[in-house]
Amino acid sequence: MSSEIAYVIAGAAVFVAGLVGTMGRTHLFWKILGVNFMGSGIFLILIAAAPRLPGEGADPVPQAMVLTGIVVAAASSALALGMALRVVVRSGGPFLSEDAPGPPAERTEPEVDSPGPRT
Amino acid sequence: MSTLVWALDVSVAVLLVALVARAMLTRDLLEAVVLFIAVGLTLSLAWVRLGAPDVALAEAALGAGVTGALFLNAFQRLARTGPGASDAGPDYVIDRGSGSGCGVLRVATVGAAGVLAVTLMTILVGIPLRDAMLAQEVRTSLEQTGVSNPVTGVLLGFRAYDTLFEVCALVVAMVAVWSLDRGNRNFARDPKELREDPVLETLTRLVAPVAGVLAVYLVWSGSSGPGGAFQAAALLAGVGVLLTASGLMRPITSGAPAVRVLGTMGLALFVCVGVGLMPWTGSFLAYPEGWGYAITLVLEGVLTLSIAVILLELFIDVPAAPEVDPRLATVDPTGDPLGRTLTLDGALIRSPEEDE
Repeated sequence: MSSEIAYVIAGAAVFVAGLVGTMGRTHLFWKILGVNFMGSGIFLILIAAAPRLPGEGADPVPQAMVLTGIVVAAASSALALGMALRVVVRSGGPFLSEDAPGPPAERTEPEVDSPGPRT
Repeated sequence: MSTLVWALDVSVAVLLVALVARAMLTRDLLEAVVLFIAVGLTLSLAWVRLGAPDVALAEAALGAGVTGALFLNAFQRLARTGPGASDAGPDYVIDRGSGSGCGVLRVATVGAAGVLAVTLMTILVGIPLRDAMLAQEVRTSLEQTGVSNPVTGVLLGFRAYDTLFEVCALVVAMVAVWSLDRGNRNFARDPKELREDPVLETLTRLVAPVAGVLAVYLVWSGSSGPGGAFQAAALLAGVGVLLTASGLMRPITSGAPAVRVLGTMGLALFVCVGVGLMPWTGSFLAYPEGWGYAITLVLEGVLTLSIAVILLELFIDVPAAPEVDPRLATVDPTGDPLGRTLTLDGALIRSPEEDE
């Protein structure tokens, strides 16, 4: 019983670590890694926290949900990485425009007031 | 003995958290990606310990294998793209930008994360243990599905609806990746280069047939033991990735008729079965009495092929061609990519070409 608790606690820690990485890092690849880790943490909690029949493995319903989740996570990571590489081509760096690191030296100030957040 | 097992569980859990924390904090992208793969493998160990062998199989083949290969592939392209690849400029694979904010903000972030983690853990540990109602339910009515592996029974019997939409999500992801860009397949190795790498070639030639047979076995045994369409498809896709990356197989052509047919075949059959049997059963995705086993097996076989093709396609078709426009190197990255200034109504008032 105590083993499952260890995995539930680890799941919560992995989720929070992934969340911090997703929110805190500006590099898009770390954001994608972070979202994947958040998913892994939730999967751990789903399976480890589910009550189980004595003498049997994990509850099959969360197992099926997590199986589905793993496959969808792989597919969405592929799509996210593809879009991140497009961002590199379009804007010259793996960052969202508002997160881009220090501007180059020859930056020119825009001639009109910035019309809100630029995309 | 039980103390030893408990110690193993606690070490796996601690290792998992340490690996994830390190991957999120490191500044080296390659290190983070390798740690991601290590997390996948540790996680599959955790699944085995939690009594979920089906999930462990999928995690090892997909979470660690195929997704890891995807990240490595994207890493390779990013490393080749960066302006730092040729001269000393910003290097995209070493992140120097993040976390350079003021110290107070970082302390506050870490503090908030700690509070969130402790709150989550307290809530989760405090949940009272209830009876395993769902597991009991599955056990008593598993006979209706015609299979004896409860996970397969849930996936293709009781909750076939979820699986149908999962396959939908995969097809949509494939189409979305196509619409981003047709990838160039420059990761495929030159046969000459392969001959100079006998370890990779020999290993691939040894592993690929065994893994292929194992995938067929997993589909077949999925009705009674650990295994099933997703695990087999993940394994098959892994074989495809290995064969393609080592240059033994020509990369499949994205959007080719065969890929389209194979990729959507599973979804099409699923919908046909769901709708086609309605006159007899009266409800969507219900199987007639006594036909559960046969229908599940056929569906699993076709789904395996479809999912494997989609996953391989997603790996190969990561959009590449990242030749950064040289004009972009000197342009403010926070503004319009081509350095134009836009007015409120979106009209172009100044473009760099006009200035010259």
